[in-house]
Amino acid sequence: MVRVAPLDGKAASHPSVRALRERFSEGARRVESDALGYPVVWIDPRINGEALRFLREAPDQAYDLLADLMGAHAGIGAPIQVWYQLWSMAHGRQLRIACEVPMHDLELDSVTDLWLAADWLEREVWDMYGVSFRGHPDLRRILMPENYEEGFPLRKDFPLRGRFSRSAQVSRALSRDLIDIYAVDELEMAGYAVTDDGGVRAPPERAAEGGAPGGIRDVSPDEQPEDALEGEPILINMGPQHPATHGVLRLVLQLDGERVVRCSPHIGYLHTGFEKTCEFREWNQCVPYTDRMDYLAPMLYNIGYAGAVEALLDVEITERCRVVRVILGELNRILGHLLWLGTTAIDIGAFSVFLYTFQERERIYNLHEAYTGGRITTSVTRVGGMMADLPVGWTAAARDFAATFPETLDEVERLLSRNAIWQGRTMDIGVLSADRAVSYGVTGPTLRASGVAYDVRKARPYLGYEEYDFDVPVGTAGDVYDRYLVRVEEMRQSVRIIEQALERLPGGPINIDDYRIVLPPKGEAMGSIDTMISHFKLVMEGVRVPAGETWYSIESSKGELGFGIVSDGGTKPVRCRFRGPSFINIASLPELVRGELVADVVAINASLDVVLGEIDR
Amino acid sequence: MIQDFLFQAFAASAILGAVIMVTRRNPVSAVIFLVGVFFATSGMFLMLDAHYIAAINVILYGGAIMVLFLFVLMLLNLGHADWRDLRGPVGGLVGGSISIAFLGVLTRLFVGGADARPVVEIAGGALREAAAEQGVVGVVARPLFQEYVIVLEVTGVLLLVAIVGTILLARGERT
Amino acid sequence: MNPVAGGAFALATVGKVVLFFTVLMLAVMLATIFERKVCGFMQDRSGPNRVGPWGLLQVIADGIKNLLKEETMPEQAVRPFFLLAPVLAILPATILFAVIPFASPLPTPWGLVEMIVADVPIGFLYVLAIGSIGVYGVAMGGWASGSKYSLLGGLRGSAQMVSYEVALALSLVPLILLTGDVRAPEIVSMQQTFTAGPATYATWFVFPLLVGLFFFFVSGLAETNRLPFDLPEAEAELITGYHTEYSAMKFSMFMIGEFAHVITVAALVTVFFLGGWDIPFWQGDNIRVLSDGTVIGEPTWWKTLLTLGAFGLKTSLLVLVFVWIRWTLPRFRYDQLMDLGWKFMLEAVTVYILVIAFVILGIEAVGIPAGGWYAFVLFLVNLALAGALFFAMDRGTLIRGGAKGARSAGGDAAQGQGG
Repeated sequence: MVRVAPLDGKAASHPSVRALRERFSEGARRVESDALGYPVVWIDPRINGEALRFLREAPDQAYDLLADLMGAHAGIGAPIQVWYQLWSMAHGRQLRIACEVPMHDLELDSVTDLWLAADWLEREVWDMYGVSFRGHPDLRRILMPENYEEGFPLRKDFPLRGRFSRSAQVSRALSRDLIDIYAVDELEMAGYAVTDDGGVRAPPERAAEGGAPGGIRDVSPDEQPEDALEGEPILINMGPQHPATHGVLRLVLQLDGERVVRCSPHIGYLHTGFEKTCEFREWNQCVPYTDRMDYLAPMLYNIGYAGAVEALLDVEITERCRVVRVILGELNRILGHLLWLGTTAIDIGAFSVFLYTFQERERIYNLHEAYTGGRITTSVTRVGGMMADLPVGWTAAARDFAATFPETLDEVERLLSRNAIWQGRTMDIGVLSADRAVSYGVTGPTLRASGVAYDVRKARPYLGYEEYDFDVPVGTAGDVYDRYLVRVEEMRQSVRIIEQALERLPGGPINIDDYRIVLPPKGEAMGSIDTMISHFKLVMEGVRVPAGETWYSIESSKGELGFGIVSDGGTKPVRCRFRGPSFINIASLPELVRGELVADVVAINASLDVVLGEIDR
Repeated sequence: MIQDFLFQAFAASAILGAVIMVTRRNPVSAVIFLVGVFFATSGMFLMLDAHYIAAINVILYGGAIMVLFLFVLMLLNLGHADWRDLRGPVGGLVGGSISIAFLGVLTRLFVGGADARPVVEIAGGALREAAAEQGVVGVVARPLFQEYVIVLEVTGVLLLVAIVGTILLARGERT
Repeated sequence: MNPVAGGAFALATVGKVVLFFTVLMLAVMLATIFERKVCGFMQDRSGPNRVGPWGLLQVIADGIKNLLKEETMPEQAVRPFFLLAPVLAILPATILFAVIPFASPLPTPWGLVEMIVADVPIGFLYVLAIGSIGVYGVAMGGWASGSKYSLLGGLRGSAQMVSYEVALALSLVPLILLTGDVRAPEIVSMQQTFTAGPATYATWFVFPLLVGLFFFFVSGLAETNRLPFDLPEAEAELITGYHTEYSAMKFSMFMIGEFAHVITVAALVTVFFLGGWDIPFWQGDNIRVLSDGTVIGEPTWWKTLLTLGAFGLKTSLLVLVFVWIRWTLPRFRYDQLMDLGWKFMLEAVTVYILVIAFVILGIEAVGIPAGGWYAFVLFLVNLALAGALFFAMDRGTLIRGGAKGARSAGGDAAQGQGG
């Protein structure tokens, strides 16, 4: 009999914890608290499917949003942890379910039937940790090449430089074996049958040409199917180099005429291993990696990451820092939405809008440059504060931007909102119902366009967002047009927030005065031995973050941006997970484009607002 | 003299184009050469002062019908070169005999006596005179819409029936 | 003074061909820089401004670049057709210009030279015939490239051009009803005022045939593959479609073809609806050559120059409209384009022809002779039709989005939810 640990006050009051305890007394033996305060229930990996089904389906639980599903590995020999980060829209509750999967039995029940979002997320855990999921319909690698055989990169026994056998790669590249060159579903689309042991059987017509193995007899003209007049479906590769995929995304499209029969997105071309690299960097050294993921709104990543680490440290940043972060975050939300607006317009053929929005982006970039010296790679935050205080005159420039920017927005709206062609191209295209959207884990403007008013800034306010007066625009139809309207309105709301924040921006220090966390000013470090020691320790070792774990999220321009961070008390993270909203949003693409035309694929893909740096990480 | 030369040049290219068209394996090439044939015949019509026929020939056959052919070939991805129309010795025999019979008729037309000539004889320059009088369109339009108006309308109905029938057949049992 | 004949006629024609081809190519060059400058202005940027004064020599630099660049040929391309396609793209647009009268006749010591390369008796039928073969450049380029994107572009192009050709041809029928002649110089004369000779309408056809102009212009846009009808080369989806695989000068030829086509359509609109080379509010330039050779009016060399200027100005303004539309509107979707062509334009044009025919019948029954009043009645009818047409074309009724999902008509989608 496993001893049931006593509950501390806060977690005990959480109704889901009590319910889980009652139902699975032995399975839910350990309950901890996240650094942010919400409960973490450790359950037996053998009952994970059952427990999660209960949490998803029981009416008083109803955790309908699987915000994240991630793995973590504490060290060589330790079990793999799998976290299920849940949110209930109806009850406004947050909960984390975690499993420790022993290395000798790396298997869990798949939850793809509960949340559609689990499809890609489970594939990622399989790809990175080798945890297999019973009942997953399509468990393949997702970020790494499908035929990668050299291990699971995020395990601790996998070296930072990777296991990379050049001879194996070369022999695969030169291979005539189809399975080495093409993805499984790509072969299926082309009519090949892939057997369980990895063999490939050619479709009848190819086999007749004698090009592929498994020779099947020639099809005589009399035996031609009746619909021979309808012709063959066309298989088309959209990307990875294609102007409308907004990065190195590859969509394999099966077309009937111009209508999409099937779409299979392929990602991972930009996989850089940021999560692995961060495990080998000090806490502050991770900041530059964060702005290279969503390079279209980099400061949001900086801010989110710093917030997550500060949650682990349990420090309160200064009021000035908080307001500055709000200003920068909203500026970057506008930056991201403007890029979205411009590129979507270009995809639908309205070129001029693109240049109008980019002129405004230039003004934001100028603000970036004035503050950080960088325009795209800003790295503006540090744990416990910012890289520096705002330069003189910066707030005036920001105020000027906030005052004049809505004019451009009005101009763009005049060009598009009531334009018959624009409406014809966007209305009723790529419709995502509210239920499907939540099940897919779609967040951000795309979710709100489907009519779900879920915004992290309102649901779980951070940085004092509850003190600002702003609205969350919500769509009704969930089509491309609503996503456009929602984003345009969000930009206006961001302007409102920026104006309020500029109004209340207090003086005082921007960094906290704890010299174990932030660098002391140079003058002080030279003056007192205590400060000098802190300075020395910070520079030589870095910040020490107490052991603990957190899953912290903010609302980025693309959706819920989550940071799953584990610390063992050292100067480097044990696990640094970035829940890029694009990764989860793009998983809904195959459903959205089915039955639409090629031109709509472009519009729908654009409307999801993905950035490949964040998808591939 | 120039006109004679041009006429013969057009005639020669029409025949040459037709021969190439028939011998092409690739249907798309065949279509392109057929378009060439239409242009050559239009040139011949021009030389005969039949401007209207020349223009309509290009608009309808060159610009519309053959484009549809090309469109269908491309749409159905049928541009494979490996299909032969004439299959087996029987097909060859039938095709060959039809060609020989047609050649015989043509030879009789040109070599045979006066009784083999076509019935309608138009004096040289008659078309030009008529065109100067009524305009190029009028020469064709007047007989078409006055003398033969019923025939024209019946033909129109026939084509409409054909179109409806085609749509019905093409839609099949899918709906 | 009689029109030139014999050897002088042949020489004059050769001269006009050479002159005109040069002018057209120069105009194409200017049109490219014009488009880039206008688009730069619309987008609040400078446009090309590095090469030569105001960047005017940019076209020459581009030309040299394209001549010197490497020509690529995809492995899977069908060589003869791949090479033929750019030629076919450029050919129709240039030879179309042969039937466009661009100035008043020029008196020379050898006789009167009409300022039109070839006054063929079939006039605008020639325009339709040659315009209809423009599709081969697109279709062949798409097919011969051996690329799926190009093939889709070629497919779209051929379907689109064939579809809009029908509306293009039909939109000119009311014009023929009015003029009773298909020769372009005659159509220009019909829009001028004369004291002698057969009756004319004394006003540009833009007034009595306003709706016809609209249909012709829209079909013309579709024929030239310009935005919002640039689906065959849709940058975002098909990566410029049928000319994806073309590079260097072959690519340039497609571009030259496109711009020549734009200029040609603009010139055609000028001739058919804007009085051709006619200078408004001045009757001195009204010169007419009847089919029997009699000349009404007094041709002089400076009138030729002036009318040439008027023709150039009108055409340039129309090119400006093309450019303006291109940089303002988004792009149609393929099925919307076909629906617009077959389910709206075709029916609307047919109805328009019927209405105009009946009105003409009525006017003639009442006994109003051809002239200003005749045109005025037609103008009123057209105003009413235009009102009805643009009401019908209001958003939501003509162009529809997807079939999925029932978006409730009206309701404003984004509504603030207070926090």
